[in-house]
Amino acid sequence: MKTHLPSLILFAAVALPLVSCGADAIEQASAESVAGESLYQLDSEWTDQSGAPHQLSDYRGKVVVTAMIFTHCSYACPRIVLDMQGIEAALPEERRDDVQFLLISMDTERDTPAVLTAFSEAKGLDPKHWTLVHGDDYAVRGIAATLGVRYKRDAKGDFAHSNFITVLDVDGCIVHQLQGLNADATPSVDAILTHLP
Amino acid sequence: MKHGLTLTSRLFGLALLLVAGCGAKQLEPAGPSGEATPLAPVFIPTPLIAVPAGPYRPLYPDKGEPESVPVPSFQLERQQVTNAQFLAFVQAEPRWRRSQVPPLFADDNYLSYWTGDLTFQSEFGSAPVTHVSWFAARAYAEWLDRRLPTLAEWEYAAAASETAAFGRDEEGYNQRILDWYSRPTPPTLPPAGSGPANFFGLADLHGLVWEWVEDFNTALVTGESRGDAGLDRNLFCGSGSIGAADPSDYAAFMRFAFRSSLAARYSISNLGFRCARDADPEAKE
Repeated sequence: MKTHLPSLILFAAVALPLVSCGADAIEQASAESVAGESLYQLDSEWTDQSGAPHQLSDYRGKVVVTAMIFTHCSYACPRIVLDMQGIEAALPEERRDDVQFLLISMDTERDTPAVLTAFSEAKGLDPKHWTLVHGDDYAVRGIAATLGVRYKRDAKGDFAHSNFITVLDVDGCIVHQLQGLNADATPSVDAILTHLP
Repeated sequence: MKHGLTLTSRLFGLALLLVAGCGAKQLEPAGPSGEATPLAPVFIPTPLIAVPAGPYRPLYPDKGEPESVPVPSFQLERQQVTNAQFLAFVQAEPRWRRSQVPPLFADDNYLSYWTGDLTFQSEFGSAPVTHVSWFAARAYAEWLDRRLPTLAEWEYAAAASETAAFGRDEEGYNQRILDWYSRPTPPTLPPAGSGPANFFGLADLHGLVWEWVEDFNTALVTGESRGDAGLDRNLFCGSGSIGAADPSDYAAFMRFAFRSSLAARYSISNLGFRCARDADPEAKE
């Protein structure tokens, strides 16, 4: 029965006068920073792994490498984090202070600061460069919408979600998105190096 | 904190509107061409209808889950938000005007059929507002201390026919919806609320324009539809759990497909919204 779906989607896209913009869920990265496209316009409030409050705009001035995860994830999220660690390792050591790695939890129930701290320590994430944040449903839905991340909580409280690693420039505009796991990280690294302050 | 600020600004906005009610024409200059500004002198929010708790039958139930999910009681606006109501919102919240909305929150089609920031053809006043992004719909709802309905709430409310809480099994029910889906959108939409009320007392959940829901972006498909027969595990964690519950419900497939094609900043010609609110704790169940 699943096989009906693709043809229906195709049908919907062609036959309905509804879809005016096509189905490009991933915004194409723009080389130029435009204030109007800055994610820092989101006024959502977050709490980091130490319990300290954050706004996304706190990271203005650094290049931000971010992904949405949940720490109970057994399959994709550990690999997203590994991919991000690979990106970190590929950066020249003297420039790493200019780059912020930000993991945003979609698990509003379970990813408390204590859980995020334990996850961070287990993965060996350097707290100087890595921040893990959680927020309420409203905040999570908003950031997911701007990053183009689709996610759904299942009956067990786990999540199906799309896997993106997004690079933000110093003004919070998306300059690159890496889709999928174990994808070649070179373009992400290049985007970071291009946009370093 | 954030909600406190929002409430303050909202009250301020309402106060402004009340002032506007006394001297509406002075509030804002008319559009560049000098046409009359169809101000709504008194803003009237759409009445909320109490919807009792009931089951939502998802098209794609989670693995190991029963085929229906309980939806707690909630409130839903009787009909879609109109152009006149949305005008009151953008008057009070300038950042959501067409010329000022940042591209992060709405694409170039945002309110594109309006003739200016605060003007539209007068016959559009009572018609549902369309060409609004998810962010704008959400901001309007927040301005009213309301919210967008969840997908489960919307689908549950929309599964009612005129005579039963679950109408999908009624003869002709799905066909009426599909007939509407296959018709092009008329250039001038009929007024919001002009359709018959369903079992819950809600109008136009089908038949007028499609509606945003808070969690529209839960549908996990890729942009490349031919690639979705088996969703790529590298792109979507947990995608193995997907399988449709009711393959005969083509209308639900259409909505699923439509939602999965949306991004939050899209502003589309026949996509509007209505607001919801949690159940009133004072009201009896």
